[in-house]
Formats: sequence, C-alpha cells, structure tokens
Amino acid sequence: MSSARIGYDNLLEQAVIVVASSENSDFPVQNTYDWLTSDYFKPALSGTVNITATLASPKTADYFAFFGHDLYNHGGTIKLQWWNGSAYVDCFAAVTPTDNTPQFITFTAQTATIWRVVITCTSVFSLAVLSFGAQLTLERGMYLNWTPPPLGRATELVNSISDGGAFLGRSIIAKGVKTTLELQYASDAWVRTYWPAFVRHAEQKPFFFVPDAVGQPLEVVYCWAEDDIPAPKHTHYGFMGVSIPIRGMVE
Amino acid sequence: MTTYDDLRIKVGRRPITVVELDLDFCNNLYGSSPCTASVGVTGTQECFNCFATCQDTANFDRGTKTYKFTEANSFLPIGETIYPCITSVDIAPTQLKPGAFSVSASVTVALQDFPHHDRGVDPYWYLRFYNPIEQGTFFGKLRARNPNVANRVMRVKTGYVDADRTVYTLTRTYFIDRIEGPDASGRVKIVGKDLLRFEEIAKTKVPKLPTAFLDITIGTAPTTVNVTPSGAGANYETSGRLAIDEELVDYTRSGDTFTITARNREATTAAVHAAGTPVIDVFPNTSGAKKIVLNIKNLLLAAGIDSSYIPYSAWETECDTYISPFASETAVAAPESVKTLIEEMLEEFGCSLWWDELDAQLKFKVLSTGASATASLNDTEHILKGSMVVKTLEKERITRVQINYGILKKGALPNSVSTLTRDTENTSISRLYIDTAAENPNLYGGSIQKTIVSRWLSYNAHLVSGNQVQKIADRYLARYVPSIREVSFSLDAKDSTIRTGNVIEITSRMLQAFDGTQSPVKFIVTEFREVVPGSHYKYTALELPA
Repeated sequence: MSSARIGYDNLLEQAVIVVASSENSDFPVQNTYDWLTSDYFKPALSGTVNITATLASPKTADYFAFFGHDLYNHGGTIKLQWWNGSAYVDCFAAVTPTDNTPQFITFTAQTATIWRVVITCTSVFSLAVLSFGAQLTLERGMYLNWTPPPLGRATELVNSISDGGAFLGRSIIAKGVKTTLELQYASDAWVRTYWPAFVRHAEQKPFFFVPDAVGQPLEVVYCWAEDDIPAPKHTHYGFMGVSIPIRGMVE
Repeated sequence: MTTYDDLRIKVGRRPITVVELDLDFCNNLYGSSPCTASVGVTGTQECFNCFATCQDTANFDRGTKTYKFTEANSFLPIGETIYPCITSVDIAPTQLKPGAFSVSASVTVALQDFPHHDRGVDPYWYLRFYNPIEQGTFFGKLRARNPNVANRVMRVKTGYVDADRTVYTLTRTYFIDRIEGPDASGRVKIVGKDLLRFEEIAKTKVPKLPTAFLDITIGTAPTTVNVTPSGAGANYETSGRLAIDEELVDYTRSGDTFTITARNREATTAAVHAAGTPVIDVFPNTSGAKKIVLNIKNLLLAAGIDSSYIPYSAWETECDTYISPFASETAVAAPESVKTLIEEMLEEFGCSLWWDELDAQLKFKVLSTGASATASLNDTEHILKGSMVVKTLEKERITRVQINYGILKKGALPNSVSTLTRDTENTSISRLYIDTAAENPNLYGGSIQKTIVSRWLSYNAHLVSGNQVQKIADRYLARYVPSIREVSFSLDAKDSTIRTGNVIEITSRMLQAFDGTQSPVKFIVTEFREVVPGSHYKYTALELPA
C-alpha cells in the first residue's frame, strides 16, 4: 500500500444523533458534516465544546480531518475521542492549528459506537467541515507529470497598465487549486472492492485527499471532482487506472 | 489597521463582491406570545417567519433577515454564511444628466440556484417532517416564502479580502425591483434599482387629487365650511392654501371643518363657490419665495421617500451658492406627477439630482462651470492603456437662451387657478439672452436657441440678487456655447475615489492645445462604472469650459 490517502467515510453522517454541548442556533452542528464550506458550526460560548456522535452500531475510524475554521484565531485545540465502554479515550493528542490549511490526521484504528470531538477555544470559533472514519489507502501513489495540490494554484490575474506604459496595479482572484487524483496500476481486486463506494461519494460530495501522508503529511487538499468522474480502465493485465480532475482548497 | 483604501492600492489585492438582500422576517417565535399560531390549529406545520406563511398576521412583527451571496472564490471570510452562487454582477451606474433626473443606477445580479438544507434560513428546520435539502431549492423556496420583495433594500459590496480573510468593501445601496427565476437551468436574476426609479415618484401627484367637497355654497368673505364626505378633511394639511374654482384661499382645518382665513390670495378673485365644489391643496402650501431644494425635498417626501436619503443641509449649501433663495415662487394647483415637477426645476435652474448608491443618498448639484477640480489625471500615472475616447457633442451647443417665467403674477396683475399651469401663454415675462460672439459667422454662423418655460421662476426673479434669470442663462451659455467634449476612460482601483459629480482635470495627448501641448482640461464626472469589480473602473465625463 502507498501513502496516498482519501478521507470520505464520515461517521458524523452515519450517526443516529450528533449533539454539540454548546451551539448557536443559527449555526448548528449539522453544518459541520454537510461538506459545505459556506456554512459553519459555532458554539454559543467559548471554552470546551464537545460534539458527540452516537452510531447505531460500532464503526471503525483511523483518520480525522477538518477544514474551514478559525480555530487559530481563537487559541483553539481539537481532538477526537472514542468511547471504550467506560471512558473516552483520545485517538491522538490534541492538535493546535496555526492556519486554515486542511488537516488530515491518521491514528491507530479504533472501533466504537460513540465518538466525541473535543474543541477548546478562548473565544467563539467557526468550523465548516469535520470528517472522521475509515480512510481509503490507495495501492500506489501519484505518478510523473502529476502536480501536488498546493502547487496547483488556479488564479485569475487582472493587470492595470497605463496609457503611458506604467504598471498601475494587479488583482488576484483565487480559484483554489487544480490537480488530478491519479489511480494507476491498481489491482482489479482493489478497484472492485474499494473504488465504487468512493466514486458514489465523490459524485455527490467533496473529500479530503493526502497524496503522500508519510513524506508530505501537511499537503492536504479539501477537494471535489471537477467534472464527471471517468470510469477506470484496464491499462495492463490485472491492473486498472483512472485520472480524476479535481479542484480544491488548500488555504 | 488595514482599511479598504490600503487594499485598493495594493498590488496583488484580492477582489470580492458580496450581494446582500434584506428580506422581511418576523421577529416573533412561532407559538410564543404574542404569536398565537399553533400547529394543528392555525396550520399543519410551523410558519417560515415570513408574511406569506404567517398564521397570525395580526401579530406579524416585521423585521429583516439578511441573505448574503458571493462569487465562486476559494478565499472567503470564515464564520459568515455567504452563499457562493453569484455568476455575474452588472452594475449600471447613475448617469448624470444635466437638467433632468439622472439616468438611474441599477444592478443585475445573476445567480445559480442550489439545493439547501434550510439551516440558518428556516428557524424551525429541525421540526419539519421532510428533509429540506431533498425538497426544493434555495431560491425556489426563498421566492415562495417572499413573494413581495419590491423596494426591499439590497446592497452590493465590492472590495477586497485581506490576508486574514477580513473583507473590506464599498457598499452600494439599491432597492429590489424584482427577482426572476429560477428558470429551467436554475438561473436566478435579481434586479435592483435606485431610489429615483421608485414608481411612487412618477405616480404620486402633487397637489393630491381632491377628495373633499364643499358641503354648502360659500360667499366671498372668510368663513367656516365643512367638507364631504365625512372624514375627507383628514387628507388635507391642518393649514395651508386651497384652490377652489379659480380662487386661492388660505385656511386652517380641524377634522372636516375648514376655516378660510383669507380670500382672493395672489390676486385671484374672491367668488361664490357652490356646494359640491372640490377643494384642492396647493403646492407649496404657503405663500412667498421658496428655495428650490425645499420644493424638491417636499415633493420627494410627498412621494414617500424616506427623509434619511435626503441630505438637505448639503443641498441647501450647494443651492445657496448659485441660486438666490428668492428666485422661486409659484403655486401648483393642478395635480402633476412629482417627477415632472422636480424635472422642471432641475432644467429651469440648471441642476442635477441623482442617487449616489455609494453614499445611499440623493445628491443635488448646480451645474456651474466655476467648481474647482478635486483630482488630476494623466496618461502615464492614471489612465489605462487604450481606454481614453474623446468625442465632441455638437448637438448640445446653444447660442441663446429664452426664458419665459412669472406664471404667478404679482402686483396689480390678476391670477386665476386655471392660468397657473406651465404654458408659455401663462407666463408674464420673457427674456432673451444671446451670445452674439458665438453667433458670429467665424464661429457658429447661426443661432441655436434653448427655450425655457418656467412656472417656478418668480415674477420678479430678474430683480433678485443680481438678476437670477440672467444667471440661469449665463450658466447655460457658459456650458453650451463652446464645443462640449465628452471623454470616457478607465482607471485602476487605486484611483477609484473619483465619483459621479466630481470635477476633475485631465492632461492627455488626446486633449491637445493649439501648439500640441497638453494642458489640463476640466471635466465633471457623469458616470462611474466598476467594469472589473475591485480592479478597473470606467468613467464618462463632460467638459466644463474654462
């Protein structure tokens, strides 16, 4: 297996009930797992806020990701806990974000019915997207001629040049990042086992993508398929491949 | 601390456009006092806190809810619900039109509809028996819940996002004209208009059409009389001036009882008025000279324009600089539209009135050539490459001005209500002012006349403050005798502090003197359009002769 990871399985979506210990009614906790970056969850008060998800049956998680937040402006920390039957146990040590780059944290797989996201802040924060569940690990990483997401900046530039030839100004319109998700030399068995479920998700919703969780763990993109998702094709005997154009956000 | 202007001049600025709609939203909570609505009693489900779905309209407490939209942009402020669904924003700016209502500002926002979960919109989303994201669309539901959106406030904010995602913008204020769509492709169009496009300004008549009638015949002396039908008196001022048949009278009123305090006002003839004769409020409703800005203000208020949009003291300062407070006196006794009456004053006194969408105020300016420039522009440092166009407006030229005025006659001359209309035959004085030099064969070689028929210029305006009639003619001749040039050009955002109505100086290779030198030429900005939001601005300006 490679170090390329996709985070799309979201236990918050699958939970029977998700409750926040503090919530601004105009910014309910449901906004954290609708995959939209244009609406937010906000607690009513600062301090420690728990978002508790109760599932119908035990499910496994080994990644935790979030994006679209201002925790870094409010002295925020965030962590995930699982309920072992008698107490909550940390999945990983609390993270202190320093900016709004998407974060994708992997941890030892745990299986539980009750999960809890614990956020501590000195003032009221905003959070757009939370996701945790079972990560999808690609059999192979990205190939040559592929652009790492943070380097695939898509921008529109508007220059101002005077009649006399002087440079007067420039505007930049950020259009996120553009790259591709390359699935190459994936075994028939792997594609048949894992790919359809991912495609069903990606047809509808965004996902987290870490091309190299070991070598470049901070290069995370919150992204979505930019167009129809191409079907995988046999590229070699016993192996399949597909390239999905994606657009996303890295800041 | 960062400001809008810091970002405006910064290389590498990040433009953003945010459109806000203020739609009606009830301040009450469903079923909580004073709201008496109840599921199963007044409706099958909770309302949506808007009037169209209200189940207790008597207790509907109208407030506003602001909906925010922006263009697709990956660098947006965090923590604000701003729907990124705008596909284009077309801002048609105010065009200053000398001597008339400005061509109104408007904005057209195109948006793409989308499914929405109703959180943050429907206060009772968690109580619904359906899943809102699977039922209908954002704009489909918004329109059904808000069928009446006309004249609600909308704002277009254009500006920049700072590195910390704080948004700094300029705000343009409009009023919703209509929302169209969503169509079969999910496209939605929101059209905003400026205050001067309110239908009420064209529809409202001043003075009001009469609704009260004398209940008895009255003689020629001051008297007290009741009007019919019962309660009709309330449609009139508590004191002022009335037109009854051909006579003007002054009155005070209590309920339906009018006490006529003075007869045969303005040299009209006291006469017997039969029972059933209509009584008409006259505008202005007191005698004597009135500043034209006061008349304009009162007409706008009569049309229902909120006084907060009228910066009256600034109007007064501008007006007093060029127009004597004693230059205007009239009586309007036949109902005319507010728009017509205001446009008459603007033309006759050479003024402009326009909606400044950035300041959210109605601006008034006398079109004088004497104003000093507030900014200087040149080809090298300001005007964008290939954007400057100069044209000469030959058709605007005039060489003489004829002014007919004095409809409300003074002294021994008689007046009657039916001769108070704007008609050359009703004017008592006519003056002709000629620029003889301009009519010399070496210049135009002919005469081009502008004729003004004024009901507003007072009978003795030529005797007031150094001849107000001649001053009006001089303003027109000074502006329109020389060749009038109109320029259009574009500027970068760094120079975008110039606005409609500003006087500027331009030095350009396209504005050469006899010897080819480039001397500054003075212009008044008549239009200011943000063609590339946050980046490029297109201007149109009219030359102000030296």
